[in-house]
Amino acid sequence: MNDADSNLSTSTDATVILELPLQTSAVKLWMNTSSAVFGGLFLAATVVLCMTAGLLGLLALLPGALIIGVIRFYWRRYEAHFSCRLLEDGLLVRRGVWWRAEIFVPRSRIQHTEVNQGPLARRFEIAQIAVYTAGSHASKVEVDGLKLNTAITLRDQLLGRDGHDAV
Amino acid sequence: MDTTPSDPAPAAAPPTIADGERRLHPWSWLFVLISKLRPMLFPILVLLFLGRGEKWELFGALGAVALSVYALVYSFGFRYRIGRDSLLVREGIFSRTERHVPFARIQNIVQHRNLLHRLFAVTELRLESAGGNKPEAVMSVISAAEAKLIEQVLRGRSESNEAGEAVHDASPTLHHADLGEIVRYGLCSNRGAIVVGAGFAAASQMQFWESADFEELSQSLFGSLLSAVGWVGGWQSTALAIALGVLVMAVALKLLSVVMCVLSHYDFRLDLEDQRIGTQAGLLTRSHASANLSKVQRIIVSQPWLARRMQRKGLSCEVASGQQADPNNSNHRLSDLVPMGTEAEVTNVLQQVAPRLVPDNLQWRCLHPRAWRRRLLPSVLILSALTPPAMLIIGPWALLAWVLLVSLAVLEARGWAKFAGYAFDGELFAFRAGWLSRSWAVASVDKGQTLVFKQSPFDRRHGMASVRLDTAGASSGFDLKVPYLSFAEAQTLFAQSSRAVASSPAVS
Repeated sequence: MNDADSNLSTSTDATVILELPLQTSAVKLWMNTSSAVFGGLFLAATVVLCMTAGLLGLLALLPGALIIGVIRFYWRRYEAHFSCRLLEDGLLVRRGVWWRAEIFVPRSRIQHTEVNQGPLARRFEIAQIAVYTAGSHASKVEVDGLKLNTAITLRDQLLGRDGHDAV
Repeated sequence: MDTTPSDPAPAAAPPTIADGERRLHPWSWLFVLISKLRPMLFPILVLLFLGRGEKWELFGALGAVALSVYALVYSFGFRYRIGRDSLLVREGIFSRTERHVPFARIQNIVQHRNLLHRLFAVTELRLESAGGNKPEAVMSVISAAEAKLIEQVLRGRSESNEAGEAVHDASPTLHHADLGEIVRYGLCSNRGAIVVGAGFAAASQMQFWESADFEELSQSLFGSLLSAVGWVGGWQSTALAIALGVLVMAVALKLLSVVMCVLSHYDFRLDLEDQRIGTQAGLLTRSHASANLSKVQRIIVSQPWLARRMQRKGLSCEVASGQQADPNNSNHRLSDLVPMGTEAEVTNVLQQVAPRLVPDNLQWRCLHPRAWRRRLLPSVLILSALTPPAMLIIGPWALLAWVLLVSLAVLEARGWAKFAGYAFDGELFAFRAGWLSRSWAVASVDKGQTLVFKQSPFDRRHGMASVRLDTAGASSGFDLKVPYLSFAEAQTLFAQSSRAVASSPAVS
């Protein structure tokens, strides 16, 4: 780490070409669907318990409320910590709430990309982009919750450069 | 690669290669049938021995006939053509697949010959590329001469065949492992334990094992022996019998490992010719794998505890492939370069194969000073959680066991952290770790695919982070993941290695 080090440290901060924001509508969608699923489950459990154990069953609402609180906290933090940037030499994704990860996919190592949209996502015009490399542990990097147009722009930006085999 | 006297290569001039479409060997159907039957062997045996009524046998027979017809039609319908720069494969019965495989995309060439293959002088040739989850082409089976021809074409030597042949004859064997080394390799490996463990798992699934009891077994095996020597009853005799049982089992497992390693690695040879390395090994089943030197993604040096005592090391490499390698069947792909050899042998092979990747030349840096505490924490937590229930069963002895095991864990963690380190110089990325068993992994950054910087809640508490360099075909358990780095150091490493990977050319 001598000569190479000094050379590299100057180029440590690659220029950002595109900032890809997470759509608030997407976060709301995930937050609300997961809250609804858990809320529904606990509501059903409460009803069943009330029928068998009387009013004491209402206690089941407490853990339900707690879990929904954690879910809402999680997604808000997720939104706050999320960042996805197209650098001049690759894609840098930062995300995670408790376990935080920063993933860098060099442009030259991308084998192919995919833009996916589920039925719900289509309604909110959000999309997921998946970037594939020839790697083994992180061979597929997915970024969900982007605006459809943004995802397509990103895909077009990522492709269309030199197409060498990256292996 | 092999230099058998009955070398048909001179006849194998380029014109014959360019000849139209080719078929598999006439006996191919037999091998296709066997390969299709193999996964069903167990159910068939169960049907034969445990099946009640003749209906099942009838179904089995019908299935076997259907499979044979399939194998026959499939293998006669298989066509391939060797073009100028790509291979065309057409296969399938109902849905025909036509696949063009550019030679440049082929990462691994694997030949597999078991006893039956050798009897018919044929071989199974498998061509793998980096992507997909199955080989680009599996030719099961073609004649050995044909396979050799195809390999030569794939090496791009079809134009200068004569010159190539001269090199071929002098094909330098970089390393040859004699029986002693293979036995040492077996002693260091745990293959036997893995197989027996899998067997135990299967047996417990089928409840064959319910009645048998290890304690009882050891008692009945050694109890009489002990009483003959003069020991009578009591818990001491039981304990001794169990200890003897464990010892015999350990020895048996090691023996099994040795036998398995001799079977798979007997007469191990590593050749290097024209930038292409190839290995062949096996006592009954000969495997022959080769790959271009430039396709080697990562090298791993490993030194199990026993190998350290014998002053030996092992060297292996990874080649890109979409398929996950089967750890029990490592000889299906180029993997071991030196199964077990002296320090000098390993260094010599590395110098020839990948001179830049020699771990000794690297400047190693240590992890965070508190890394050992992070390493220690999980084992202490698990041990502490297990102690109260253990105390219920064996009383205060559990506390003593806790103290002993925790001190062992402290030793392990300190030893591990003392040896652990990473190296990054803008061109190479390396990680080493281990306590009794040590491993080193080195990759050139141009083989890097993705970089991952990670922080768990525990990392955040201690101001640490980990950095991983993902390479293609990583199949050994030892990853290029540097854990327990100080946050700032991890950030620098991540940023620098990101730029280094991105600016290095993606080599094909």
